Amino acid sequence: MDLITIASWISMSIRLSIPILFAALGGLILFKTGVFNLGLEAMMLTGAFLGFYGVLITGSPWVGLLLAIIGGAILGLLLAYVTVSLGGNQLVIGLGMNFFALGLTGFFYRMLCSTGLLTDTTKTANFSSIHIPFFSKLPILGEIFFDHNFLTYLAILLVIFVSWFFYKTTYGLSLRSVGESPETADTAGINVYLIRYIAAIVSGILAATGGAFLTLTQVTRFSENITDGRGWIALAVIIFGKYKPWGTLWASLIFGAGFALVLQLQVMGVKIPIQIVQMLPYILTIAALIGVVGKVRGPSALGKHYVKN
Amino acid sequence: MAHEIILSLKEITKTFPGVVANDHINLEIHKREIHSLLGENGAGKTTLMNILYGLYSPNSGEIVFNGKNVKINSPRDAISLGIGMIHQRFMLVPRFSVFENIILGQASEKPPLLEKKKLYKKIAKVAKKFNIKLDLDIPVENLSVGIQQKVEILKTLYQGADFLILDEPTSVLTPQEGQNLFKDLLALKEQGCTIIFISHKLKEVMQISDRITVLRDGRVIGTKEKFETNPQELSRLMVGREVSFTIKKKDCNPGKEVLSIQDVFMQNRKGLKILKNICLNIRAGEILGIAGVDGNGQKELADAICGLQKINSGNVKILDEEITESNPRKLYEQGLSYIPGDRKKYGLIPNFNIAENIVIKDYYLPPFTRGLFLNSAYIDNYSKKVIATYDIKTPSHLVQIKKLSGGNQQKVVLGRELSKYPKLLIIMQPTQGLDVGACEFVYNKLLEARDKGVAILLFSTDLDETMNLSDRIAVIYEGEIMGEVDPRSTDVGEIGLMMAGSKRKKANAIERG
Repeated sequence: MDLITIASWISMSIRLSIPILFAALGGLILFKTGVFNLGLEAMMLTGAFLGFYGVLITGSPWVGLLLAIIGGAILGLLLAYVTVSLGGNQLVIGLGMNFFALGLTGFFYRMLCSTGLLTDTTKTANFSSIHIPFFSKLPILGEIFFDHNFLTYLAILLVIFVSWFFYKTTYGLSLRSVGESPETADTAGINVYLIRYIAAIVSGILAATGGAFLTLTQVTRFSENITDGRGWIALAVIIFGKYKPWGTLWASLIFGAGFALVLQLQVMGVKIPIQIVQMLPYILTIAALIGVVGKVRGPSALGKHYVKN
Repeated sequence: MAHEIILSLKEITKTFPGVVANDHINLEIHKREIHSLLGENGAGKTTLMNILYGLYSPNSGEIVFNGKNVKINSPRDAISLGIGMIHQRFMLVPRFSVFENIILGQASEKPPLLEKKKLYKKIAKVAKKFNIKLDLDIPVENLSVGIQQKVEILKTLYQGADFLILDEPTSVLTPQEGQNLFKDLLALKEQGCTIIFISHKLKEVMQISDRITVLRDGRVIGTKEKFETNPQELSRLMVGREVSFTIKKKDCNPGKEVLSIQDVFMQNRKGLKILKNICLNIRAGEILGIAGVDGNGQKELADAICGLQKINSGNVKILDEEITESNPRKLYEQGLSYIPGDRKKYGLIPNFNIAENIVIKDYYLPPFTRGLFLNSAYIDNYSKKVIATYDIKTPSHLVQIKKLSGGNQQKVVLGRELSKYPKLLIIMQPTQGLDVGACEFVYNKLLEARDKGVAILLFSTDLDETMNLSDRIAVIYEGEIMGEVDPRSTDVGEIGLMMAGSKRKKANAIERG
């Protein structure tokens, strides 16, 4: 492989890791409060569809992003209501949401297909790359780091922000305490339910943004199950990243690199059966879950319903 | 001398479905006193204090604090009044540092920023005032229980509390740690704090209190100045009848060796040594008590003997038969009974009924089974007999275990294990969470079994209990036996020192026989 190929591979890795990173950060925020978010896939898929739909009806990717955010927030709210208020099983609701979103987005997409809206090729606006002056002209580095769309930069900034928020603010301390020991948080005067609700909504918004990234950057298109398990990979990323924001970033990049490698190998016509190559990211996922990264301690109260006296 | 009244509770009533936890309680607390709330489990002490701390809201009644009628709807309200509570189960986040635990839920001066330096200084100031020394950077989970309690106290003081409620604070401490706590409490009183001390231990209450209020069945039975009362009177008020303090015990008449443990080592998954070089033996008809602070290897030792955990080296013999590689069922059939400390988790299946729990270790054997089927007629009869013999209070043998009181649950376990006439009984925390009546019953049954020739290995963190029941006491500390003592010729202080790890020479250990 020459330098140019490597540069484009790294650039592609970053691009492919961003949707996962959004979802993983969203998942992480809710995990840290002690609630599983197995509905990341649903939130991404919803975000992807609504983003696409927004562009389709208005021609503006911003409207698409807004719709995605609203959709994600609603799903987050639903998740919080079922798990936090009703004490429903956190795994079952997540799984249920995924099947629900898969069916619903597929159904609406087919309805759209039958309306003929899709053939209108004029409305395919999306978030294009921001060529950062000077830096994007740098050889190799320019392509790798300074030639991405604004959502990519936003995701990186979010990692910094979330890390700062978790560990340098009192709110972050409160949020983490809710996931470690809700009883303690409660007696310290922290509103456990409120924090979990807010975290769930933010979680939904971020995951939906990750989904919207798939339909609002590069090409504006949707297809059934476009997320293709990225929400699940985001879960592996959270564990791989040891429940830490920066860890989430590195883990996302590793998975992104895996996906990019798949594409790169196909382009280069390497003679390995494509199915084997495509397994790569998922083998990584299994490795993460088996514990290649060592013993990872999640938040102590993860998955436990908290009942206030 | 006129006392300033800082708090008065008036006609506080709190009911839970089916129970009146607090029944028209009136209570007055003087400023700068240590006031004990004494009562058995379920007397309503903790409920009352949870009301004062805003965790429960009372059905009726009022709270007057510093001369003002107050409504306390949440811990936050309580804290803003200067009321702090140290719960029996510490309210600390184990993985957080001492610093993080102290400032949790507290506003910083420049929100949302967590200004570490400034807050450190603020904490240090409070710590200095009350003479509490703590390293703020250590995760709480790495601290001993006694130190964790200090963190709790410092946290409460930092929040500005000068009215402290301590719920059974000594139950988790060694005797020495308990004495240190008392010193701290007296110092806090000197600094102007008012303290409510919840306990069911007469000795402590007599030591630390200025005044004592006794609760029973959710009612105030009386408030006494410490100097006007004595343990005898307090226990009568607490239980409602005369209680004998000493357990009547026949002389120990040990027979042949039943259990012999030689050089047992055990490591956990992380490679930490949990048990080191354990050597113990018990003969028929004697009770060997293992004293020690919870978590020093007691559970692992019991599990090792019962075949629930593998040991790394050493051997365990029951009646000269090597059992190191055995399994729990085989051991049970050989005459080993095990009554675990956490009975609801390891001793019983809460959703099963009494009869099912009684036969859970024998159901596969005739006469409990006939071929492939359970012999329900026999099981019914058998469990009814156990219920009668062990005085289990229940309307029927088909009642779910979880619907019984702790005392009755323990009687079910005791009945199941002792009805099989074991040769060796291993029992952990026999009376944890039991009221005085049930305790007496358990003690009598254990002594009865001992007199019949059962070898009993008793693990208890209640030192008085261990002293009263045991014929010999071995002290365990960090997985090591510190030595053996004779309870008749040793005082609590000495055992306490051993429990805290000051080793006693093996040569001093008594040899009897």
